[in-house]
Parts: sequence; structure tokens; C-alpha cells
Amino acid sequence: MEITIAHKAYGGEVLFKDFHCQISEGAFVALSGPSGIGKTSLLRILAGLEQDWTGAIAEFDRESVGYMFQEARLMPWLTALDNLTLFGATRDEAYQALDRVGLAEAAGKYPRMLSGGMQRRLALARLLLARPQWILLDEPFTSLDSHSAAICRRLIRELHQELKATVLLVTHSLDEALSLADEVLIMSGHPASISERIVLPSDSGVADSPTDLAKIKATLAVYF
Amino acid sequence: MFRDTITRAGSILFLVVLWYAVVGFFQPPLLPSPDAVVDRLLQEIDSGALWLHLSSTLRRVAIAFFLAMGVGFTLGAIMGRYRRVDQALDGLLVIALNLPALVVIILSFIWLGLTEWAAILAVVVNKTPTIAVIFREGVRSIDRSLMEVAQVYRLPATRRFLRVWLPQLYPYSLAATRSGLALVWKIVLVVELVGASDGMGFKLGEFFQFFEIDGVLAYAFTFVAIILLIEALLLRPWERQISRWRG
Repeated sequence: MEITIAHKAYGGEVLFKDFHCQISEGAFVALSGPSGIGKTSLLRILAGLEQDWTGAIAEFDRESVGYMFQEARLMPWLTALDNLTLFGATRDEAYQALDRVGLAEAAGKYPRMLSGGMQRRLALARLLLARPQWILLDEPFTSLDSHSAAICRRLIRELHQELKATVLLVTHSLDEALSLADEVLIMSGHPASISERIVLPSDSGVADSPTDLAKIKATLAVYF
Repeated sequence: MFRDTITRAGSILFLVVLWYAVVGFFQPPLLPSPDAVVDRLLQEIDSGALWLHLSSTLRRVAIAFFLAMGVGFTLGAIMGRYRRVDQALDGLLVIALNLPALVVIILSFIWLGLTEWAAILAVVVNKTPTIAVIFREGVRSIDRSLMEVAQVYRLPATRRFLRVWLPQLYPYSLAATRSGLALVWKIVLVVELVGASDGMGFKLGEFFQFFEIDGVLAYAFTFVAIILLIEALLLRPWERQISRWRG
């Protein structure tokens, strides 16, 4: 996938000017950088939620995007189950998805009755039912209880392999990036550019090459 | 539940007792006893007059209500969605909101004659602005972030409209219906008083001329009973239905 953003401004500030970024299909890419740099804007442009930008995206299928926003964004008037069937899943499929994110008991509950972590898991169930080829995650694990975060991380790793999906994960956590991704991109500058691209050794989370990992950690630590 | 009902009914019961007491002690010439009003009511039912006038009024209320809701919803939705249209029509809306109902009624009858459609038009013109204002507010409060979810997950347009956009307006629809019904009723009676040859408003005008207070009260109670019925059978259940998720 190749994205070029010739121009994109937000609130009078130029976020992107001749920005260029390449992501190989099937990769799990972590994207980080200072707040307000345009990481969310980049995801939104990919998902087709931004109109006022110029540029082009090549080798990317917008019809097959799964997006986890910073907030859960559930329909408050629908039960957990109906929040899933709304998007075309059958009841059986929806039940299976709920079971997978550990919410089988909560099928009949409204989002208001769920904890923040459970809401996020429901949003993840929605994403997995869409079976997307492109998974865009905007800080999906921040302020999650450790139980929910663990479930979400495991599921996203499974989805990545199962669907052979390309994952773009915006995160501020170095550990998260190291344990999930196989490539880390650092965005910086005004207007933004990709200032660093580090390919992680496979299974970096398990750390079979401790020296390499230490080096990478040291390099990356500056940015997190 | 039962206690609630008792509490609710208590105030009404008190009023009836008070009424009996006042009539019993003072025998005021201008306040008939409850019994006299009930007698009159039965008489009106027997003669068929009550049903005749009530059905005319109900018909006008229903037609005017649905027309006003339809036009008001469309207008409000467009104004809430498009800033330009809102700016262009806002001044007119403020004028329409503050136009006295009686002015609209009189002009409507003068320009269109004493016809059924003039009566209904007068009510619709009176009511539409408030409904438009409610729905304009509703559309402005639509949560864009939820619409984005629908977009990202490629929800088909009709489904997006019916199941994501519209449900966000249900509370506003309920508010518009409540205030709409209450106001339409009242305006229809005035319209009938001014320029109709049947309906509750017409009949009340007749009672007024002949000082038939029991008749006025008999019709008024019928009117109140129907409002309570609509509230209990339609609006309350609907409200429960749409606010269930708030818990």
C-alpha cells in the first residue's frame, strides 16, 4: 500500500505536505509519534473519513477496512448483540463474536451497562465480524483494564494471521509496539513525515536475539 | 405501581369531592353539580351529537397533526443539516413562531373561505414552526462519530438512515408529538369556534351563547378523557420503548 498526501490541513495548520508512506501488504505496523502530529488524520484519510485532502492511495481496498476508533463508538440504543447484527451479521455469528471477545453473557445488555473495557471489546467484535483486509487501530488499548487489553491484543494478533490482514496500529506504548508489530514507523515534524522505520526481528516480543532487541529498544525509546 | 396510581388519582378525586362540596354548600348558579354534567354528557351521547362533533374535531386534529409533523420534520431536518438553508429561513421561522394563532386563523378563513381546508391549513401553519424547531435541534445533535462508524463499516444508505440516523431523533419525535398534540387540539377548537359548523369548538361556542355550562363541562371532560387515553395507550408505551436503553 502506498499513500501520498500532497496536502492536508487541520484547523489552519498544515499537517501533511508531500507526505509519503509505504506499507507492505500483510504487515503489522505500529505507528507512533508526538500527539497532534496527524496519526489519527492519517488513519481517517485511509478510512475515507476525511474529504479535504489531496493525494492518492494505491493498492488499498477501502471496501475492506476495519477501524477501531479511540472511543468505542457503539450505538447506545442497541444491545450488544444488536450492535453487531446491525452491520449484517446473523445472530449466530454475532453470538460467536461476542463469545470470542468474552462478552457472551452481555449479549442483551446496552452499552451504557458495560464497562469501558467491555465496550472496547464489543467494538473489536464488530471489527472482527467485518473480516477486514485492512485493520486500522487508533490507540485501541489505552486506558483499558489489563484483562480487556490482553484479550484485545491476543485477538488482534489472531485476526492478523487468520485474515492475512494488514494492521496499522497507532500507539504510544513501546512495549505494545514491540510485542505486536513487525515494523515500527515514527512520524514527526511539521508538516509530518515518516522519520524512522524500524523492522523488528521476528518474534521480537519473545526476544530470541536479546542484543538486537536492546539496541532497537534504545533507538525507539527516544520516541516513546 | 398500585400506590403510584392511587397518588395520581388522589388529586383528581380531591377535585371531584371539592366540587360536590362547593355545589352542596353554596349552590352557585353558574356551577352545575357533577351529576348534572354527567346527565348532560349521557344526553349528548344518546342524541349522537357528542360523537358527531367529537369525530369532526378528531378528524381535523389527526389530519393537521400529521401534516404539521411531516412538514415540520422535513423543514427542521433540512435546516439542521444545511447551514445556508438555516440562515435563509431562520428569520421567517421566528416570525412564524410568534405569529398569533388567531391572526393566522382569521386570514386563512378570509383568503380561503370557510372551508375545511382553510381550517386545517390554519392549524398546520400555526403548529409547523415549533415542530421544525424541535427537529432542527434534533438533527444538530446527531452524533457524527456514530455516522462515521456506519460509513467505515459500509452500512447501506437506507439502513444507515433508518437504524443509525433516525433512532437518534426518537426522543425529539416524542417531544414534538407531545407538544404537537396538545397545541393542535387547542388550535383546532379555536378554528372551529371562529369558522366551522361542526366540531367541539363550534359546539362550545354554541353553549357559550346559551350559557349552558353543563354542556361546556361535559364536552371539556370528554376532551380531557381522550387526551389521557392517547397519553396512556400511545405515548407512554412509546416513551418506554425508546428510552429502554437509558435504563
